[in-house]
Amino acid sequence: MRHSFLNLLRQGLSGHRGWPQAWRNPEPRRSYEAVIVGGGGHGLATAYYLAGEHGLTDVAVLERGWIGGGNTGRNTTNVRSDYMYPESAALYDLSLRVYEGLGRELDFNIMLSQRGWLFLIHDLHQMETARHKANWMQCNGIDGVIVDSAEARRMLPALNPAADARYPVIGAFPQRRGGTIRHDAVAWGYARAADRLGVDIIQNCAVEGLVMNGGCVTAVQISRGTIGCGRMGVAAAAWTARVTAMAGFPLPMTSHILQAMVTEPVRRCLDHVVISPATGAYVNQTRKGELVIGGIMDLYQSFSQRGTYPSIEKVVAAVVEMFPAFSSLKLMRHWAGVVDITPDRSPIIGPSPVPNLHLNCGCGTGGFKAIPAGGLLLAHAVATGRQHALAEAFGLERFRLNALVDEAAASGIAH
Amino acid sequence: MIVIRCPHCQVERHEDELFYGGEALPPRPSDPLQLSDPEWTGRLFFRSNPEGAVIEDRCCAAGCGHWFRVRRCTASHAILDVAPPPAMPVPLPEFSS
Repeated sequence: MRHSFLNLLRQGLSGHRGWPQAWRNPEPRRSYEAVIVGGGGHGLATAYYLAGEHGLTDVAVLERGWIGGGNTGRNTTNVRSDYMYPESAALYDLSLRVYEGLGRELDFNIMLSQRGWLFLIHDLHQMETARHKANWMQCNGIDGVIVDSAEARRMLPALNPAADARYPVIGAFPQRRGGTIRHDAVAWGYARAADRLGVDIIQNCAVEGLVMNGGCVTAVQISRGTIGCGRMGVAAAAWTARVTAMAGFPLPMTSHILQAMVTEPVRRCLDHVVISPATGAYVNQTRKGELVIGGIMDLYQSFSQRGTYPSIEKVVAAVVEMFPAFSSLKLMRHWAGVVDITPDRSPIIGPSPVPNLHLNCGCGTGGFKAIPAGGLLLAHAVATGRQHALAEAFGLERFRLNALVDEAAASGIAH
Repeated sequence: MIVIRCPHCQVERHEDELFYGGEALPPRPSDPLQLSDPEWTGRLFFRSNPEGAVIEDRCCAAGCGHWFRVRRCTASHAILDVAPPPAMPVPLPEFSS
């Protein structure tokens, strides 16, 4: 059933009891042409584009938990494409452009709100870096301008007005096309659309082993038995390395927790997504009125999926420094996701040492905004066996070749 | 919160007082040519990153300033063992491409 105005009206009048199940819950078949490991945004998008763009519908998505229960449901819902290197800018702007039309394409309201992503500049060094980045972005054809202190204060009335503020704001760097999206809707929308094209989405199905034959993956072992596969795409974030270890090769990634928290809802007081790399926090207000706050990544390795008090304290202190009025709000919830960090903070996309196994991982702290591009590029690799032109810089071999896409410095974010 | 007793000064420190030096590596060779290109790739970019016990370097930054090694569970954050570096040797990471 389409999500049309007429259907919404009909269902509203009948108590919303008539909506069909959004996607099936099938038993796995004995084999599939392609198996995608990971039922988050990236895995579901991959399956959707395999079926929709490449006509490959004999596809299963294996998810060890539930759809959208990993990092797709644990992020701060921000999207932007203000990257500096041309390779990254092309990747993330492709994602943002697809997101701009995704609600209509999937017939699922992803609630994209391009409210503007505002990067605060606190000192002359940051201003110089921001100007450098703004020039790069103009060369890359991506919107981004620097505004002065008065304009930043007009955009953010709640900003600390004190003349002796510890982090005075001397300007800001907005990307106006940046903003937020309802994160669960991205997973649900891709899942529903992929399911309609014939993809089997199998939840509660962890990969326990791989059957290798002649150097290729031929089957996946799950708790319920074995599923044959002609080719495989792995988009399981931090757990991708566990799957590739089963195939006999390691990945250059470490896992860390990235935390976020949300306050009680209040009336509208913050129009944009605001990041302050100097203080180490970013914040936006949801449509319900809650403030969603994210911050620094914990530096040490962790798979714990839960938060730590030192990080909460630092992030809250940073937000209160920027917006003193927020100090009277209570935190309602707090959570952590496990991010997969590569040495250059850029994703690993494309072929692997196993010829029929393809990767999409290492998005680190920027996985949510990369979902459509990650799905398109992994689907291309799985369907054709070749690297997509936009993914050429992001192959696994770049570490051996020392050809890094060093976004650790270029993205300028706090983690 | 991670709290570790420094094996050098015997004072308990919490995670913000302990500078994190990353997953432990074998000593850097004095002559760079002792390692092949693949071995350097492993050393620079690859880590074992287990979901379980990992050996890492920490520095008693707010205290005595000495480095030591910690064996810690990455799933529970439980501290399993603490010792000065020579007591916990680690292998060179493997690499792939």
